[in-house]
Amino acid sequence: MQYNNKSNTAGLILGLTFFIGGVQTVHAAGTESGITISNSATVDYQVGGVDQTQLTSNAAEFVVDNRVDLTVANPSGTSVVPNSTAQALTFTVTNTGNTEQGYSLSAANTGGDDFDMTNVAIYIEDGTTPGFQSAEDTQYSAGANASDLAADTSTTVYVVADTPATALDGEAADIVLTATTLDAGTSAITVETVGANNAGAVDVVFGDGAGAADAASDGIHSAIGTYTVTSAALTVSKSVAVTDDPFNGTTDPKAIPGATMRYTIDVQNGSTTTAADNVVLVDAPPANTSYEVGTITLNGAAKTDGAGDDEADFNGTNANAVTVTIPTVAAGGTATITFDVTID
Amino acid sequence: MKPLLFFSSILLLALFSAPLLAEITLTTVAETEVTEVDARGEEIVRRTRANRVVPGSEVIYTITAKNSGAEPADNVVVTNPIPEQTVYVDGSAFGAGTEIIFSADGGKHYDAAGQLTVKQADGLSRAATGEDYTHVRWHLAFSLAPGEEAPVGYVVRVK
Repeated sequence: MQYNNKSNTAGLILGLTFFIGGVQTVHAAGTESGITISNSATVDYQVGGVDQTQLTSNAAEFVVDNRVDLTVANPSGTSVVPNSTAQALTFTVTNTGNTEQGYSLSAANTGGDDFDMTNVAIYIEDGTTPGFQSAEDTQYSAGANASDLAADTSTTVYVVADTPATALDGEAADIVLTATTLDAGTSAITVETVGANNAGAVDVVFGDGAGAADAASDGIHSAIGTYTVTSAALTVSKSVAVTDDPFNGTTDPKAIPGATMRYTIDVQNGSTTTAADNVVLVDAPPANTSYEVGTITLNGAAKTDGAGDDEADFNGTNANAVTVTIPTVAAGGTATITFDVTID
Repeated sequence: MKPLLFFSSILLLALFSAPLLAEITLTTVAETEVTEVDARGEEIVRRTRANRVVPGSEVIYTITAKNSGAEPADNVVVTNPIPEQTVYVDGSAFGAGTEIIFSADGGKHYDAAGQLTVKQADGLSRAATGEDYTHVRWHLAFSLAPGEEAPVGYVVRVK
């Protein structure tokens, strides 16, 4: 019989799959508020060995109340460079309760970190293109309802701010984003039902956990996102050595008039993360010395004195000075420039 | 006198044509427990009619079978389907002098806790847990005497 009844079997499997899907949704969101849960029992019994008619009890009923629960999260921080504008931190606000709610938002710098971001604003992802786009996403105005969220749905929120020019490599700025539960479709803050249960009506119970800057069971949740400055950290050191003189040649040369002095300039990038690009170094030979033609080197490679043909020139970009534009000093790397002068 | 006679004959008729007079009334109550702090600062647990029930809340069902008839009731079996939006809390069923059995297949088959299995998606069977239970059933091991009450019950967690 099970062989000639294939269509029934298929129907059963389909039905089962649907059932599992439905259960998962219920588990994730929790039973929706306003649903009446009803329960009645039956009793079977005998009297004098004779079965009696089955009896059914009254239905014990209650209405599922509104458990307000929300989660604000910042999955990852954002790297910024000093003086950059409109830098976005990505947060999610999730309705983990069992009722559709609205949410108001606020973002603020926190104390105890290295510096504060400026021009802090909030944008709501409009769904067109993932990620923050100032032209697309909607700027949030304080006190408004950012978005109505059905139970177990979430929205993406961006905190957008500028990095001060004074921020240094490795420093961090924390921003706390706070979401407050509103009645759906309004900008009215949801209020917990006080006093006795209203039988048959939906009461409001705050079931949220404590966030980064709020307490448990307050209808509010918050999370911190961190901006971390990644910037080049350049240090320049300069040394000088005499390479030859008119009397001793290159053997134990002395710094006498006519001697050649070699200046060595090290540009070191102390950042472990960020390269420095187009680093311009300008150095004028000191008084009582004269630049020796054609002696500029960058990282051991000879450079011409003429402007525009390579990274280095003398008396071109800057009068009577050596100018070298170093294309890149890698993170943790050093660029070395040398040039020679003659003592007058 | 006449009405009484008439009534008596109805009663006799009922006794002969129908089973003996024993009537069970069955009531179901849903309650929640709230912890309150009394005037002396001590925590007291108070049970009230189901109150502030949200997903995750525990609700206590108490079903009371009362014999309001004149004859003892035998082989009393109370059966309760677990409401679909709730999950049975393991080990919570109670009922003095009763054998408590469960079903994990919509009431087709009953067995003691720990004896039931459910089929998984891969076709293999595993031990059923409270989450799988669909029905709770109590077999009263005693006769319910006239006027006697037998409270049974269990706890569910709202999904």
